[in-house]
Amino acid sequence: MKLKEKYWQIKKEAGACVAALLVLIVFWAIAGFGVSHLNITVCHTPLWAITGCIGTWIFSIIMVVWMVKKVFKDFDLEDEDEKHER
Amino acid sequence: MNGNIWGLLPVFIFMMAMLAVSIYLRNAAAKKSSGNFLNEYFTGSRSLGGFVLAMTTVATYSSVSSFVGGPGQAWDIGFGWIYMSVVQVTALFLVLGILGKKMAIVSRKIDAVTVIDVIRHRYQSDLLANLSAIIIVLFFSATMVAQFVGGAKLFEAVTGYSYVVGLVVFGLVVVIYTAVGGFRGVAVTDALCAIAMLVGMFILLVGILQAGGGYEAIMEQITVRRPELLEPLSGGNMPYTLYISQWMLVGIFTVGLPQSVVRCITYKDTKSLHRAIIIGTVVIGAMNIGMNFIGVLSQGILTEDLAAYGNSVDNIMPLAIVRSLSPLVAGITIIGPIAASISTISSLLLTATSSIIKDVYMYEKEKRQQKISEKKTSMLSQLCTLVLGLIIFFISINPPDVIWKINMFAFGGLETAFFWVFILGMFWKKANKTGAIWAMAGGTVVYCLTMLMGIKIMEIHQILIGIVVSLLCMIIGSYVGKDVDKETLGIYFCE
Repeated sequence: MKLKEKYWQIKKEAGACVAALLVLIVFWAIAGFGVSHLNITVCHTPLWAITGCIGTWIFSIIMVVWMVKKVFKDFDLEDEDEKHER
Repeated sequence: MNGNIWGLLPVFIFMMAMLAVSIYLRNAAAKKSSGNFLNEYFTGSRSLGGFVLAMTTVATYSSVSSFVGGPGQAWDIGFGWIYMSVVQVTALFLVLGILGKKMAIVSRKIDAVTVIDVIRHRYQSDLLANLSAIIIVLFFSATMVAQFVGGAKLFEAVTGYSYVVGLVVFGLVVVIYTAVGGFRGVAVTDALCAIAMLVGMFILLVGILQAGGGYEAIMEQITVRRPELLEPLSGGNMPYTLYISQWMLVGIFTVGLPQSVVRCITYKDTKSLHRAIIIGTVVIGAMNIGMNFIGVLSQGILTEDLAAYGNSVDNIMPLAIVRSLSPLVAGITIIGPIAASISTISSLLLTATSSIIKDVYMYEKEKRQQKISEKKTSMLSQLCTLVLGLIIFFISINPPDVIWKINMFAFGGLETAFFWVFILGMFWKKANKTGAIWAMAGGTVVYCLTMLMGIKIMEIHQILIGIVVSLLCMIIGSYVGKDVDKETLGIYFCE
């Protein structure tokens, strides 16, 4: 990969992280505050606490795994263009 | 002194193990030394794998307050506090995902060993570099004192030994092993600390569930006695504005913390980075949910009002540990919080040292074209780590009030100072020296002043003001000042 392509890829990955952050904020708000209006209790625990805390955590893991597999790419961190010039 | 030796022993053994690991790593690294001491001492020769990168980032980030102050609040606030703390799952993927690769490539190109090397080069400014060094050393020192004090207080409360004994047992050792082991030592001991935190957390969870008569009994009791703990707003104790503040303070803007960003220049390859993002997100979530959940469950054994427990939530976790575990098990459990404190101290100490030695002292020497031998560099770096560590240690024995003030400003102050300087430096070509200096100085001063005077906008934490002011300074300054030269920009951006 040329440096230019790497930098373009890095921009794309950074954008994906920001998008992931926004999606997570929305999920978090719905899974916690949203669900709390339902007033459901599961195993002596309010449902919003389960979905808002453990749910958000699991959702973030799934999202991060997806992002790393689908958006992120492997490349050499040394500048290959420079290596060729030498 | 009415200490229980069984309470002391586990921490002591753990600390000795940390010291042994550091010495071993140092000897192993010396054998296959590439001859570049600074690169080895401050970045571990850019060789971190995914697991260690994840764990050291999480461990540095999780401090003694994640184990004591935080769960203490959870005891008082309830599930809302866990719900708030879970926003920290964003910390790892944001810093490593946004800055990780760019910082790694750039630091290899310009041979950077510290984050300040990168800042100095990107903005071509010695003033900015010196300002960064001052902010880092000042805020890191205050944070380290707070970590020492937090760890030693917990030690005193749980084992019965005096505060100073606790400080000596873990404080002196962490200073020595950081000085000896350098970054490689810090990273590996951090990883072990993170594991110790998880183990301590698990033991405590089981202990508290047993002491409280099981999950069902504890929850029923909370439902009757403190039903507001089951609501997200906790009967008004956990307002929306606090959630928004925490999203910014411990979530989004942690990207700017120099102690996290420095990890971007230490890992081996992109595979390691990718693994670290996944592992780190799993671990930081587990730790935050787990510890704060334990805090809520402590309601099962600490059933009175806060006034009965010395009117401070900081007393909750030590009491919960003492009342639910036998002395030996309690002694093993407090390795967790002690590990959280030392893993933060070791990283901050090394970064602070690198600022003093590499970014100020050696840079000035080089500018005057005075050569410093490899041997002298090595001696100076270790000596500086040791001396700075010892100064912090002695301050911690009886910290003056001013340290607490600085510590209060440290976390948000570091975020304000560095967030835009890093982010826009890496992704906005127009960002220049004038903008960066204004952003760092202006943002930090405004943040500290508004904190001092208690000025808030819409009841949201002052980090909002600091970050916005810093951004405005950066943008205006960048349009007012001169652009960075093309050759330098060529390293950060491709046309």
